[in-house]
Amino acid sequence: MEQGDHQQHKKEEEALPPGFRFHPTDEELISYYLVNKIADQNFTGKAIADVDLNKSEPWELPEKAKMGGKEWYFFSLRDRKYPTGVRTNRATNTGYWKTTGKDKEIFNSTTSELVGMKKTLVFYRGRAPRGEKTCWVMHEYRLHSKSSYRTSKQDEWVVCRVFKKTEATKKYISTSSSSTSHHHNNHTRASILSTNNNNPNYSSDLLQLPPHLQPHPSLNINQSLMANAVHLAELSRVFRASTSTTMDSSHQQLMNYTHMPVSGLNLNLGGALVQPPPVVSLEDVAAVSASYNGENGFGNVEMSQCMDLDGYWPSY
Amino acid sequence: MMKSGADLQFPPGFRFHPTDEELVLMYLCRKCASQPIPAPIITELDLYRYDPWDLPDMALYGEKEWYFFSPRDRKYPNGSRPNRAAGTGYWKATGADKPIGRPKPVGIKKALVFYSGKPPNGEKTNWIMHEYRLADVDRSVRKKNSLRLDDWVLCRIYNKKGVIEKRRSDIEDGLKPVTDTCPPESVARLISGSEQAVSPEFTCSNGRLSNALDFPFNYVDAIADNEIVSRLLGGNQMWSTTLDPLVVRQGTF
Repeated sequence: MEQGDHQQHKKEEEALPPGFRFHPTDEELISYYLVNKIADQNFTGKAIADVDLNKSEPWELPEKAKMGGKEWYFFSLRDRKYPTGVRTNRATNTGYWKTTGKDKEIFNSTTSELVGMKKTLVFYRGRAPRGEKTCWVMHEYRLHSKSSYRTSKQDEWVVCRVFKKTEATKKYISTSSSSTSHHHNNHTRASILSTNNNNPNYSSDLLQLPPHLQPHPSLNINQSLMANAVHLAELSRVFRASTSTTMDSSHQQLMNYTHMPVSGLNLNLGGALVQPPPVVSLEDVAAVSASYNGENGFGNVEMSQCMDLDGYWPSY
Repeated sequence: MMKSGADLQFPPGFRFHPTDEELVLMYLCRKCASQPIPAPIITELDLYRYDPWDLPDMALYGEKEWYFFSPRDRKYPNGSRPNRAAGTGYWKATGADKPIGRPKPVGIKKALVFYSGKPPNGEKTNWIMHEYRLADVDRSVRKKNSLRLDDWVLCRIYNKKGVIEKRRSDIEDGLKPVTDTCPPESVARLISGSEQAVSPEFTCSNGRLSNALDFPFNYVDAIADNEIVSRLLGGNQMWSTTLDPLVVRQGTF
């Protein structure tokens, strides 16, 4: 079996002319590969192997892949952790995959319709919630809940990209003027309350947070979330204006390092901003977030580049 | 924009993303030695006759970057400097040349930027070229009655903003959609509703617009979500933890 796989792997590689690699866009992974897999379980991609991610450790996955140099692609069935629950079982023999960041919507580049969702996970050794973080990263792509291709089956196919965030990766990312690891760190906290998280019970997750990440006792999470929803559109406008106008020479210099493609610009610019007050009231969530974000322009720069990086596969 | 040759029928997701070594060893060396090329994806074209925004339409293959085999001419009959005039502008070198190959370099990679207009008053654009030439070639030898410096160099062309702008000025193109989506009424209403964040004055200068062009369009929404939630979870801790990006960023450079 193993030797057969090796021969097949070698055969596949030889069929490609030099310089060609499997670098699918998020949209291609969902619209072509995932849709075909859901329609026909026997569908096999030239570069995507079937694998049970619950029975494989991440370091075993590269040898099970059909193709790939620094990232590997798999089809996998995701089963529920409980018969009637909505949480997915992500444990392996030696550890578990933990979600990081927010789920990202993937759109059809021609029709702009939503085709699926992308989730980023990091592998932890040991048992939750005291696992040890590793450098193995997974992007999981699934159809969105209202897709016409979705069936009523409990088991659902997903397509995954697995890669190892190595020193070489860090060096590459650094020269691209962005920091993926920081991006993940920032989003770890946000993922607890992500609207894409199907978990309706917040408190059980919050109890697992380390002490310094516990919400302030006086805060009412439900009310705050509602307030966020109400003001989100307005805040987005304020943040755009705030960030663009607070850009100073050091930020402009940083921009010179940016080589990420931008397919379109849709900016809503405001006028000159007053300097936000250094001390703000905790009760006024909207004002606090606005003024805080205005002071953290540098972070915004980094964040945007992280997001761009995910969608771009430049030559190595 | 991608055009696929008859021999290049791959399933979705397969792309030409070569390393520098692959470009030099498998494509440029073979081309210069008149040997067969592994795949018909690199167009033969004297790209110095054209502006870079016209080149994608002439390429055999490519989505965001396009590859060409091109000859190079001398600037002067007895010199070895290449003539960089092209179309309605010129290519200007940027950065250091990079040797390709180990232990002895086989090729040399040079990065160039396209400027519209006449030197030295050209206007910088976002079009970039990576030029690969053979390393061990005596370019002082001149053919009779010819300005030819290299029969073939391999060039990768791309726009660093990822869009193909047909006109000379990228800034001019970029400004228009931004202006169209800058309605004074809604901004004014926003200003009056958020006193702590914005000033009563509202101006929309070209300088500010130019700066704004550097930002991707959807960065703020994600950050808004992230910061709001971080605030809820972190309390006062957030001030210290989110200073990390500054430290990390400064360390990187």
